[in-house]
Amino acid sequence: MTAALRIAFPALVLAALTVGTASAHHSFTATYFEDRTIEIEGKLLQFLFRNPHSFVHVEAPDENGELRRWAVEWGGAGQLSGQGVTSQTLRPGDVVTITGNPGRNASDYRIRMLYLRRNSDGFDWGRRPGETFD
Amino acid sequence: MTRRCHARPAGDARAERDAGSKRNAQAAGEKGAARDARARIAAHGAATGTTSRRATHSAAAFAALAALGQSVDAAAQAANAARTRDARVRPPIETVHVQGNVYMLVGAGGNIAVQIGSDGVLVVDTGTAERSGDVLAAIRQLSNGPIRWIVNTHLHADHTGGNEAISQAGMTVNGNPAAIIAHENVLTRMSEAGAPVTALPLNTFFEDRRDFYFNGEAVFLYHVPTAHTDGDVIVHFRGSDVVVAGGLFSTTHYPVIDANSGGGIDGFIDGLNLILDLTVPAYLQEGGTYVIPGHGRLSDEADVVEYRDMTLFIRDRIAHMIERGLSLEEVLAARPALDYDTRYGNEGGPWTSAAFIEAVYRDLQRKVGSR
Amino acid sequence: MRALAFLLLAAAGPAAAQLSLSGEWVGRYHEDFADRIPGDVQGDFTGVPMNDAARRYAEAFDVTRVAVLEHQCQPYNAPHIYRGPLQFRIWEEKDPATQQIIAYRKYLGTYQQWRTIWMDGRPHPPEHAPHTFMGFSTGEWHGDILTVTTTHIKKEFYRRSGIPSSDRTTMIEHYIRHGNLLSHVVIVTDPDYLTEPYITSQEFVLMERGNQNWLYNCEYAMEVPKPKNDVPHYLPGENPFIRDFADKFGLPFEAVWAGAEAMYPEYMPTVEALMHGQAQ
Repeated sequence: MTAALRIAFPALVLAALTVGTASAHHSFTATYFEDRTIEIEGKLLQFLFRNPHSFVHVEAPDENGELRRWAVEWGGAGQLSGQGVTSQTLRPGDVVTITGNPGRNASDYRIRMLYLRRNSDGFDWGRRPGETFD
Repeated sequence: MTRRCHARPAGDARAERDAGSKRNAQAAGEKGAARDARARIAAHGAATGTTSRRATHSAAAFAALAALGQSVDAAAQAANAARTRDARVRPPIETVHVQGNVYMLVGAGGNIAVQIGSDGVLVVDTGTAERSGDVLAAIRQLSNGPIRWIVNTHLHADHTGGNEAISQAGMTVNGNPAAIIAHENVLTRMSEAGAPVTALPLNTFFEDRRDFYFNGEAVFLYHVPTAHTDGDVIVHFRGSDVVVAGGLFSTTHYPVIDANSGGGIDGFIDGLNLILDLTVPAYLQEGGTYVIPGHGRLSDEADVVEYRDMTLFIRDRIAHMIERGLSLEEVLAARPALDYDTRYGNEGGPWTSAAFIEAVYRDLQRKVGSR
Repeated sequence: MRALAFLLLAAAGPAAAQLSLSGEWVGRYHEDFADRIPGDVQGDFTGVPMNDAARRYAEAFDVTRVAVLEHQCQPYNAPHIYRGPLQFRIWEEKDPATQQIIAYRKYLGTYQQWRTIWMDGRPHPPEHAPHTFMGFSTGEWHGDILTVTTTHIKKEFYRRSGIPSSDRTTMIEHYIRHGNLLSHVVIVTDPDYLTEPYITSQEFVLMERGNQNWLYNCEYAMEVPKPKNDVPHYLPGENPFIRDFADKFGLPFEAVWAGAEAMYPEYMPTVEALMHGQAQ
């Protein structure tokens, strides 16, 4: 076994161990336009901290200025817990700014979370190493 | 009816017509067979001695649906029947404990649900007339208690054929034969068809639902209008957590829309959604509330979800084709149920893919025409 | 003394002849990683001998269907689960008197599923018995290969691209252990959606430490606000994403869509001809 393979093999094992149930559930690439991003800012209505995927529901305007209930997909509860996010981290009423990949069905108003920031105290997620989900 | 022509890709139209030339012969053959069946059944209806024209028509319709119900079950039982050389030897009634107080009897026509307990026995549907003796024997294996109640989920003879025998074998607390409950429309249609009074459901209701307590649990009856028929009832044993779906769910054939008895596709889907409102899976979409189908295997929510999805998808496809102005022949040629035909099509049986598609087409077209 | 030791050894029953499969096993995803782990764009129908019914089903499949309430907590079925990210534990259930193996039990960590492989010769249930996602399994050893037959499986998918797996499938598995590696071959026959048996194989490695999957505890919730009982699907010919995989990799769509024909080397000239026609 070459040196390169010895390095790569443990990395694959690690990837296998840390891969959670969320990635088995459905393909993000198939669900979202991963080559595009969208940003919304609005009031958090609900934080579903759960499996298979957590969801953040935000009331924010669409491109026409009409208020919509956006559904922002996030990691499973197990995965987010490992990153310091709990069911108490976000609360209804928080004003948040979210950047993410838009869903392929525009009428779903659905986003895959890339970055979140709470305006009141600057809490954010998505910029630090390890703050990803699959 | 004026055909509406809409612009659509030429290739689609050509493909539909090319496929249509291959399918028309098959569809014509199937429709011819259905016409022959109706003719035979009408003759049978006339021979029963019904005098009024409406009664003759209804008797023919009832008998036709009796034959249909029996034939649908015959398709499911064909494998067993083919193995028996002696026509008098019937496959045994199989008894399955579902959960709680509820059991399922398989092999007497439509599936039968039996609830037992200290109050007696409640039977949902009674199978075919010729299997009544075997059904009673199977019930006696479960309980010696008196059969107090029978519930009919709908009027078809593979679900009501044993009404008379099983009711007479039972007894209400005041000494009458076991009471037969159904939606009022079942009584109306069975009466018009000339069924004997001893086979009629005389305890009927016309509201959306009814409930009562029996054998330590609440029993709910939900009427689903304009579905399999206009008299469908779903039975929910709340304590045992079992739903009896009657004609609204099967694992062996496409949804049967009995238009002559007031059935319709939208109501059918509503009925499946009602079942899904009642079912709660125990774990990962498995178990929990069990569903006894009218025909086929014991099921749970996930099985009903697949059946609901299928029905909805095919309905939507046919509706879209109607909006585009396709004729029935063109819809059949387009094979809107292609992804389910091998599973539910029952080619050679009475309720084929073509029969299902035609029923949906005619039902949706009626609604379009009435707008 | 030596004679006594010999007699004691002779009196002991023979050691079990079968290989032990017990332990915690983790998957290796070198093969088809993109499909098996993160998932790729829509429209990957390669490698599955699907028939026209499967094609119609897959064409109609909208990936957002998984957000429908009744679909959210649906796990993979037995033919599917071994292709995805997976750690599982196997242990033996033995008759206490005879020490014969009655069953192999499995815990599959991805969705916290359990399987039982009955080794006591019992028959499969009748046709009217309920189906489950893991099905009903019986097994027997052929030399050092454990062969398992599974029926009564619920309907699900072969792939996340929407290729359906019917509830009339039969799954045959062969477990082949060599050292700390476990080769797992799956052969699926499906009268409704496949033109021939669908054969896959995957490798697992024995873990020194136990299962490290997160607990699943799936919870139903309105993920994407939609009318109740609204099940998304595409009408025939209207799936806008069906060619995404073919386009991404520069493949002729006919080849991606071809099913069994495209799974064999003899198809290469056809691909070349299609690509030549595509280039023109």
